[in-house]
Amino acid sequence: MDGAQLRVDGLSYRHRIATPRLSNPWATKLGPGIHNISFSIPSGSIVGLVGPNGAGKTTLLHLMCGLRPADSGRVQFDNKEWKDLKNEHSARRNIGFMPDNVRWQGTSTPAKILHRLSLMREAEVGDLIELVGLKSRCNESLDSLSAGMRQRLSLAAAMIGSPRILLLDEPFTGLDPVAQKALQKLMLQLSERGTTIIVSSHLLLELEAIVDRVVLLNQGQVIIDGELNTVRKKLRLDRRLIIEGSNGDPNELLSEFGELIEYSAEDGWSATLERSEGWSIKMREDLVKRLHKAGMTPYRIEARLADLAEMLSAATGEDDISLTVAEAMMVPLQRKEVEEE
Amino acid sequence: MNFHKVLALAFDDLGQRTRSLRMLILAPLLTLFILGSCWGLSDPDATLPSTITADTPYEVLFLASLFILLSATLGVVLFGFDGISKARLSGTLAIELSQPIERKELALSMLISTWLAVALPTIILSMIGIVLIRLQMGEWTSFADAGLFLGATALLLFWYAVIQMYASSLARDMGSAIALGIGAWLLFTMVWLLVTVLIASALGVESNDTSSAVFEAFSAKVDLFSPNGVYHLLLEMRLADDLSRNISILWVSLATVLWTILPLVAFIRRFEKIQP
Repeated sequence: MDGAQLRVDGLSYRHRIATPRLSNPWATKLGPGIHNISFSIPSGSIVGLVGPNGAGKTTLLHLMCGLRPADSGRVQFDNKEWKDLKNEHSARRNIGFMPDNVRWQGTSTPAKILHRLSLMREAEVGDLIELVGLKSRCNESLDSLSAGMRQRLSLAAAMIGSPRILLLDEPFTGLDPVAQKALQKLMLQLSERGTTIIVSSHLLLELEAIVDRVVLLNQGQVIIDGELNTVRKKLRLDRRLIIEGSNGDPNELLSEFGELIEYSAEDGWSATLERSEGWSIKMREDLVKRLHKAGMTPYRIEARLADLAEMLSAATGEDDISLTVAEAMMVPLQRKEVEEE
Repeated sequence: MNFHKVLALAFDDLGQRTRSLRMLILAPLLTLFILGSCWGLSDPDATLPSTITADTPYEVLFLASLFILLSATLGVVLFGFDGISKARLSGTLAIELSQPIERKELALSMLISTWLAVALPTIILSMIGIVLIRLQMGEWTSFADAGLFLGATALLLFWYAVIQMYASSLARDMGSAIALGIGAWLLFTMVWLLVTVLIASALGVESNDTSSAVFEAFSAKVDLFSPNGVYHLLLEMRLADDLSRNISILWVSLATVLWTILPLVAFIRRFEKIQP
């Protein structure tokens, strides 16, 4: 890490929605957007942009790579200030952008596409094709590529010229589990080399495995940002304890120690407790002793780390939103149930 | 402006266009129309309607220009109608716009590749056509006549390329891209005479006889507002007086400059503001 920081300061943008009328076919009205977005990231971080649909994640990435002109605000990186990235094309040399769901099509090939983009960047493609796992398909037509291969091509396109900031919009979509792991590993390697990576994704499990910071967005605004543990603390999500055991019914006893969030009793019992003051070691020991004394056998007790979906749910205050976000993760589980029937 | 980068991108794109399916469709079409018209119209045994004269190589080229107006301009539509809209719909435009390249450089490279994809084969076939005319009539087209014909043809295709790329930048789906592309081509190629007659009627100019001197003089003025019209007015400058509509060379030159600059500026300004 070289100590440089990426700083987003007061970025605002409103979409213009076309409302054509006979009297004015080019009429527009102001639509949703992002409002006064500010955060700062140390160089070499991997940051997760998390939020429900329509939160402004893609719009923020578009502003940060100069695709849209910000109404106000600026981006600072490495002591340089970019107020108008759309027109500061040399500044964009530092930024690689991978948009969501690019439909590469036609008779062109990945090698030709990357060659064309390398002309724009005045940089070499190098071993990028191999790095993203496209070597065996690099001279095949785009039409013959699978969705995952196209996603790899988009990733390679973003990485031409080794940009110092990578903006990735839904990079895990369409990738098979092995490719997802490979992408996670690649992102960690790039981060170690000092590349700052901002990833927007609804696949929160994949995201959580690599990010060291998150920016939670809702309705175009930053609700909370920072390192994962800091965010958990700020959202008071670090006060949960999982306890599992057998024999007896611990409901009443557990309720004396904290609020019982979840409880199930199958082959023993399992409970999640929340306590606003947190859980000291003494408190945990006390709880275990009381359970033993009551004839129960606790065999697992540990602090429960809230995941990104829970953080988002807590930050937005809406459970429905977290369900929407988790929808993509739930699909395979539903399929499995059907198969079992 | 980095012209080296613009040309490198344009030629990279051109290479892909020349190997595309669209070129496979266009190439025989252009060959048939351009070579066929040059060969057929210069045939001494050919019987043409009495109102059409093809006594000199240049007059043959002038008549062949009608076939170029039908085929080559349609070729520009074929290459240009989705020149921007397709990339926009597929998401690849977002990748290109985020690259460290000025938007006007990117716009120019797209425009040049669309233009050259049709202009190069058209010019090459026209030059072969000139040779065919020589074979049929035993007389070469003069350098000045050939230069004007080839230059005007290249300009016409450039104007069409700009119009098509501008129209494509407006389209947000494939349907509107086709409608805008074909619509612009139909307006100038098929419907312009009707537009001229309507304007003449509205202004009280006699329009019942479209071959009358009054209407021809009027249509020459209206043609200044159409790329096809300016193309023909440019070519008429080298025709005999009784065959041309004798509009001032100043007006034709002004229209040529304006048709070259204004749509180009409008397209680049539009592209600079385009959003993915």
